[in-house]
Amino acid sequence: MNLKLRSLAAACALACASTGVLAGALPESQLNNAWYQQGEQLIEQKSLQTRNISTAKNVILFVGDGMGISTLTAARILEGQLQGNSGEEHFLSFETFPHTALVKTYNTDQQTPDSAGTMTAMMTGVKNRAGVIGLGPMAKQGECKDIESNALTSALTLAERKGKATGIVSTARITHATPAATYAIAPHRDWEDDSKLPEDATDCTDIASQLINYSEGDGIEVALGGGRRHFITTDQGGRRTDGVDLTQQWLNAAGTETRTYVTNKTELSNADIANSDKLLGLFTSSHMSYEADRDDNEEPSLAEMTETALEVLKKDQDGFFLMVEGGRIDHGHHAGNAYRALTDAHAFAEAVQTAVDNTNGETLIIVTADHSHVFTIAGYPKRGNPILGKVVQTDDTEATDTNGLPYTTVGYMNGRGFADLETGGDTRYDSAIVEGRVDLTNINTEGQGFHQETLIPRSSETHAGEDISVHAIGPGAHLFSGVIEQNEVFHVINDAADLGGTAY
Amino acid sequence: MNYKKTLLAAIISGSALMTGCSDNSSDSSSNSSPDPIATAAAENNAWFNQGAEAVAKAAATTPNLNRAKNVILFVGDGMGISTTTAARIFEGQTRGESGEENNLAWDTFPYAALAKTYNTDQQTPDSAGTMTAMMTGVKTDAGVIGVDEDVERSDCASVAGNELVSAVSLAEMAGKATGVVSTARLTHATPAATYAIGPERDWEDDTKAQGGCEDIASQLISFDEGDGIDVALGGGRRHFIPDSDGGRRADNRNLPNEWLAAAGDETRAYVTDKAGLTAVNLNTTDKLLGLFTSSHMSYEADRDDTEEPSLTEMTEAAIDLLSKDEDGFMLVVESGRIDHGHHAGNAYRALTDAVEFSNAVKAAAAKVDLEETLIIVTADHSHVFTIAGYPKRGNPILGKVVDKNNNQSEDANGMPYTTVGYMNGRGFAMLETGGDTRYNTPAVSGRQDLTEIDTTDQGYHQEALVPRSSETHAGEDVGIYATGPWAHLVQGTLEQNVIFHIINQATGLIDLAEANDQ
Repeated sequence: MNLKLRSLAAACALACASTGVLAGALPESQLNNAWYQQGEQLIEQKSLQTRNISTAKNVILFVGDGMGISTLTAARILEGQLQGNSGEEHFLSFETFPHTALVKTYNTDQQTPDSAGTMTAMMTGVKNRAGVIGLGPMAKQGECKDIESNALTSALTLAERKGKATGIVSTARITHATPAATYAIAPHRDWEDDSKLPEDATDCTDIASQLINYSEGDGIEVALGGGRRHFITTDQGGRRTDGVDLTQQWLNAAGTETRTYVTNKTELSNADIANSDKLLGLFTSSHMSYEADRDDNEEPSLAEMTETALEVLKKDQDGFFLMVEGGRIDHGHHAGNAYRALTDAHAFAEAVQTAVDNTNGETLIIVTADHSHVFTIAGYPKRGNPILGKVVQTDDTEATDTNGLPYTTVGYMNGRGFADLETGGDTRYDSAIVEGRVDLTNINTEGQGFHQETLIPRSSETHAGEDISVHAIGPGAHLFSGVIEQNEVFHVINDAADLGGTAY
Repeated sequence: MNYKKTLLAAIISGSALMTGCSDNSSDSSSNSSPDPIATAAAENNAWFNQGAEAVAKAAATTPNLNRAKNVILFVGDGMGISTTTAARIFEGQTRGESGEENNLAWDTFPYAALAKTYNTDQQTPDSAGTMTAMMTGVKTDAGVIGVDEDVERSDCASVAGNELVSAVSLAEMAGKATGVVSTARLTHATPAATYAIGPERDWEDDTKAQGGCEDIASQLISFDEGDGIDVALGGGRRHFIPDSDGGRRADNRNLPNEWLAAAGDETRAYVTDKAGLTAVNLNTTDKLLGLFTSSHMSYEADRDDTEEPSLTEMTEAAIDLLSKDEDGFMLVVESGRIDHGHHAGNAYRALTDAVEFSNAVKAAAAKVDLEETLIIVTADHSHVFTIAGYPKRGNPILGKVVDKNNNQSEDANGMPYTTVGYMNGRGFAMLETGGDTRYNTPAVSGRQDLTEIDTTDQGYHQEALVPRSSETHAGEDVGIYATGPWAHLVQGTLEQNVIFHIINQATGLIDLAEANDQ
């Protein structure tokens, strides 16, 4: 596309310069310029767009955990460069969606938010405190009291009550904050299994057990992700100390339903999806692998999980609600490894495309993030410069800092800082924090083992507080417009799909 | 006009503040607390109802398909998404609120989109290429103004055949009044791209222009589309007057005098300070030129209110004058120094200028009829400016991070750190007066012990990782916010040059210009 633009522009420059005649108000060189024509055509199309005000039968909410605006731009450039193009002119699958809004992400007690509070806002229409799942803003993190009065109802629960099928897909542990906020109520995001519940939290149950015992409607149809350790006992290599194998409990409770439980890609591929009423997949003990490290024989991709989930959910004539999280974009950033954050964002964009390809016009598809990261794209690389590379300027010289050292385009304001490891990502936590600059002259910063430098040395890189974006297509997508508070995401879903959620 | 979101914001703010208070006082005052169940429901419902009402409002907002008689394009130079969030918090906190729930003027506009800012030759762009894209519908190289990417930067001979026509020129051809307002020099890249053509943004006067190309200041004065630009207010007087008069021109031309002398039947006013601007009768003046400072105008933080008008005052004066034209107007307003505050690594000045930019947008929205006026607010590019984790709600945006348990956060070496910071630039400095003074002292790399430093002070310059002569732009998308006719086209992720096409779709500028030419 970029090449085409460039060649068109070049062709025009030759043809149009020779005429040099004003054709109407604008010169032909302007009217024939590829950028001009592309913009003109887009606006012609957008001018004719009408709002889709029919009720959404289905809703898919995609959450790129930690996928701020800078991550979108960098991932777009990487994806374009992987296709052999300059990259900047590329669009991620959802960046061509017609409707957008910017989202204020703060929690009620935290300026720069966490995933538990942000996802609770999106799922319930109510902002709350950081670290708290499914409870209103009065509930304090870690305090198991007044659960009943603070409990909120999630969009997933409303969908179940409406008779719709529901599903959850994540590359993180299925008990992690973001997926948990679709089905669980917990004063602390860390209460993923019974071993983490404080002794005095007698009114509270752990998150894994809430997923298995979830009883709204006919229960959650599909749950695919990581985190098996929270569902099985310590004897089985898990973390449960109550001796309960939740996966077995779930299978035993099938009654007349056909329930399928899978733990690897082969089992998922062999599963009789057409005849399965419910599907549970726990593919890894903790989080699933980064896309960069995924063994395609062992773990399904996010796109594959999304496709399978849709296959199950689409059987319900009443429609469905599906939440898909790209959970490890966030983890790549926390580890200071842009390579994994961006390749996971790329896999996330592919999962969105899979959803677009496997649904029809009755489906509202929403793509957003929960919060951003302190991840920046510095000046002034030339067009098409490798996004993970060192800055090379438009005159093809390498940019250097005041000490004569080259620097990378992308970087992190804080975190564990520089490391060049054999395998990047969570391995970064095994070696010491490195503050500040290093000489990158002989370092391949585009390698998967490279971890960007940082200013502020910290146990892990932090979230960032600026607005993130939401992109939407389908019935009700136009309800996303302007700058919104994050809890409005719920209300768009509630309105568009007529889920019937009301105030407390 | 401004949506009912403003009211809703007040509701959120009230609720949020209540939560904030209960955070600190609930333990000690639990005896006098109201029924916790009722309180919980009220807190939940404050957010729930806010969201429900906002979405109901969005559902009831139908596209405005009127032809836009007027267009105002506001450009916050360097005002990326992180800057708007920080400025929003800063403004709210200035009023004594938590800040996060605040809305800047454009936060209440009904539509928002993202803009891809890269230049045709540069991944992270500059202002000349980006503003040319917005004004002409054509993306181009960094550093060039009003010409396409086939030009060689700084090569005057390469311009021929590659010139582009700007939306301001089209508006003039269409018989509309036009205006340019900036806190930067009026010859600086962003304002220049509204009226000038050239292969080099630095050719602001004759001492810099080469190869026979007309310098930018001269192009402003000699601009002859339609009846010429009606209002130009900003800085940069030095590029318009001879060196003998304290300016930079070597050709001995005094451009304001030439401009006044060419008035013919028109009433033209030239002003150089705030008193002069205030004294102008906008009802009887046809054209207005204001050059308030030799170079850029002052940062809002440093502005002497008796000497220089604010961006808001300039915007209001421009609208008053332009509104007299029955054919409508096109106005471009740049807040030019948000960018400069960031380049100097001084978040204080970047944010105070962004807040004043919001004031200008608010004043404009209040002055015009949004049934016939399209207002677009955007940035040309971002900066490597970040808002780190994890400050508590309401923590001073320029302060050090204090977490939700009221503990000061520390880095791995036990040192406190600020919420906002820069990835690169001149780095830490605590000066008597912040801003461009930072260029007088050396670049400082990395961390400092900030324990005894007031980081919210105007003289504080944030730390930076990569030491550099100045902090750089950033490459991620910026926001576009819009209200008025055809504002609904401002949705999606858009190439920056699409902004021109949105303006044209809303106003029919090209058709009007061509009809006028018959």
